[in-house]
Amino acid sequence: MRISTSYSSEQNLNVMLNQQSELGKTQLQITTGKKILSPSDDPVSAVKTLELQRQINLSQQYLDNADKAENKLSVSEGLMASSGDLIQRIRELAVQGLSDTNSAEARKAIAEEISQLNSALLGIANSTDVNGEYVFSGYETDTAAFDSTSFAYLPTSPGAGDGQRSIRVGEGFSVEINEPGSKVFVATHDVTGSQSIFETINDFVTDLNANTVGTASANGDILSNLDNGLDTLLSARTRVGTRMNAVDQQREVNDGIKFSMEKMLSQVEDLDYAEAISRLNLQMTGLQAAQQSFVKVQGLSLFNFL
Amino acid sequence: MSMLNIGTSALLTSQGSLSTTSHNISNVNTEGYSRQRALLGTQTPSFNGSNYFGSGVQITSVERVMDSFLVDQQRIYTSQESQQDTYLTFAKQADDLLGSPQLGLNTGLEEFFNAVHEVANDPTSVAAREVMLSQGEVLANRFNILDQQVLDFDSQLDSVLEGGVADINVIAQGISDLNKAIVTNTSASGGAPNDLLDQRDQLINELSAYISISTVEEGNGSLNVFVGTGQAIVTGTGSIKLSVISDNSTSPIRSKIGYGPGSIDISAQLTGGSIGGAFQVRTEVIDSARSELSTLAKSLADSVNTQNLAGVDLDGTTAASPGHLFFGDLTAVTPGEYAGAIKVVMTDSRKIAASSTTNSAIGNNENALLLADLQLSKTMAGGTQTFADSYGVLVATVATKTHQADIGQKTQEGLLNQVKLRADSVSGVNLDEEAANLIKFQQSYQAASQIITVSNTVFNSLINSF
Repeated sequence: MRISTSYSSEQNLNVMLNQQSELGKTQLQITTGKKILSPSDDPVSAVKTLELQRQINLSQQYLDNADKAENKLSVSEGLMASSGDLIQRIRELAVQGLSDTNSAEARKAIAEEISQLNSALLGIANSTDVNGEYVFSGYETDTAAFDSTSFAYLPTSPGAGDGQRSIRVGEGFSVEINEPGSKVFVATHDVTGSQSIFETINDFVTDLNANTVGTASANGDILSNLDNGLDTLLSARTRVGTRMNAVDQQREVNDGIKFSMEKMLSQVEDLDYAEAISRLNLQMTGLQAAQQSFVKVQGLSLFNFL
Repeated sequence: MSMLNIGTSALLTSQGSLSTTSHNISNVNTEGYSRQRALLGTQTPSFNGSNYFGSGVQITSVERVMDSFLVDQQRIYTSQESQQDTYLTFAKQADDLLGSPQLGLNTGLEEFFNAVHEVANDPTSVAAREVMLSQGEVLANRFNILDQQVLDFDSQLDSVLEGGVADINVIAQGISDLNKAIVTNTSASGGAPNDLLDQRDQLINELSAYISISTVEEGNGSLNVFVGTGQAIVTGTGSIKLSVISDNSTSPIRSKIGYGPGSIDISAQLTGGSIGGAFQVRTEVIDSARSELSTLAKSLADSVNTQNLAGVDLDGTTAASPGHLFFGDLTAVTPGEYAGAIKVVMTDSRKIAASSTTNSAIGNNENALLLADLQLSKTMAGGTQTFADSYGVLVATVATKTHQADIGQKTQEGLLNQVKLRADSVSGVNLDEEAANLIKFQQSYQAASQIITVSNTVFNSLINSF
């Protein structure tokens, strides 16, 4: 075929420009480390990338939530552990105080110690967390859990007082991060039916001071009531422990999801450097060859021989 | 016929051929130039009573070497390529914009809902609430920026239309002027003004980059040019102007194209070229992207507002409109413009209603959890897509269209280059060929000079014999 002089040079130039733009694209891929520079390069992968990024982000949020849930649960758990120790110690003192070998004075001394311990126990039940929220007040986290004189459970708005805050730690899975004081420190009582452990202990302190513990008490059997209190506390602690386990398991699930999503994302969007660099070399060679042949071919002309 | 006359005719013809060759060489880089060729023929022979004697050579015509089929094809492919090119330019911008991690809605939505989660985790924390407010502002701002960018593309398209119309009018005027010159200069003997015809073909080619055209040639050599569904813009020696008119049916007002003195709207009839591409990308990409963004903005604002109004705020007040609206109420905004109008109107983060109305208390986070759940609830596209899904679909749609346009543009460019190559292989100047012609015609000129010399010698020998 006949070829015109200007067209042949124009076409060679176009080829070189195309090669340069391909080279530029490869170079950009190498500098960014990404296979896809804009969604239209590969619409399917681009949308997959968006979806994967979203899921990774969500898994990360669930992991953050799990940390938060675990923090709160472990605060509750720690407080309950200390409470258990205190009640245990009070029970030992109660056993001691009930013994008829004690004088009235000795019982007063024991009463004094139990009273101190009861205040400490009440202090624990009215603990606040780092945000200044009462830990055992259900949803009413701005109200102290128990009154320091009447020992009654204060957050009593219907529902809210027993509210348990949930935190999402997985898709469709949330965990309650608090136990309301009414389910931790309020136990069955052989006389009143149900009352807070502080009141039970306080009643016993009164009895001790009055030295009336030897006779049948109007305030019931202190040891069995303390045992009830311990049981209630223990089952609340078990619930919290179980939830901490569940959070841990869910964290593993989310970690797993996040890891596999990140791997998929990397496969979709990350550049295969070995392939890209060999492509770059090939394109550079191609461009160089085109430049050299351009100069050589352009030099050919019959006019050189006229 | 005398030898001298024959020699002279040969000299003149060789000169003509040499000058045609020179003309070709000098126009080797002229765009749209078709190489020319002097066609030679014998002169009418003379009869001396018994025989016919040849009486030399003459140039019968100087013609341009071209294939009008290829010229027409080139014009069609130019229109198509230019249309795809304009489409691609704008689709690519929209594609880059929507896919950008800095501007795309994807990260904006994620960060906003992460902040909502933090409020659910710590409903009494004012810090978490403030973060949610400011992430809401960031998200609304992303919507605004995307909407503004899309509108910017739209006004760039207006510039394409305005520039296109101005150029089309100038070119149409040029074609009608050339028509005039061609009609005047076409000789009675049929000799064509080749260079003027080339110039006119070149202008028509330029015109077709703006818009699809069809042409009809008249007997006197002038050419009529039509756009759209037969609206003439060049009629012989006259031209009819296109104009840019305002399309009041859209908000904001934008341009469309009017025809003739009455500025009749012919936008719907125009196809091909950068103008056809501009109209196509406007409907297929720009308008649909803006409307999708708008729908998404409305749905997001409504869902968040409705959920927030269903709760109780940090001060224990049951949420009520308008004090507890998180995003501004969009009901008064023109449909289709929600993405540009969405903004956070809540100023006091205590008004975020984290608590539910049942069991309401300061530490209740039930409503905040429901707010966070909006991220995964399928509120879009008739309950089949989440916000992020819907945005993903938008990105995918634009990306696919851009991808198609990219392939289309490369295909058209390939076709155009092929037909250009073919047209050029017919019409383009090849310097080697011209060099060979130079030698050929130089030789024939030298030989013709010899005829003159010999006829002179012959005449001298006759004279000297007296």
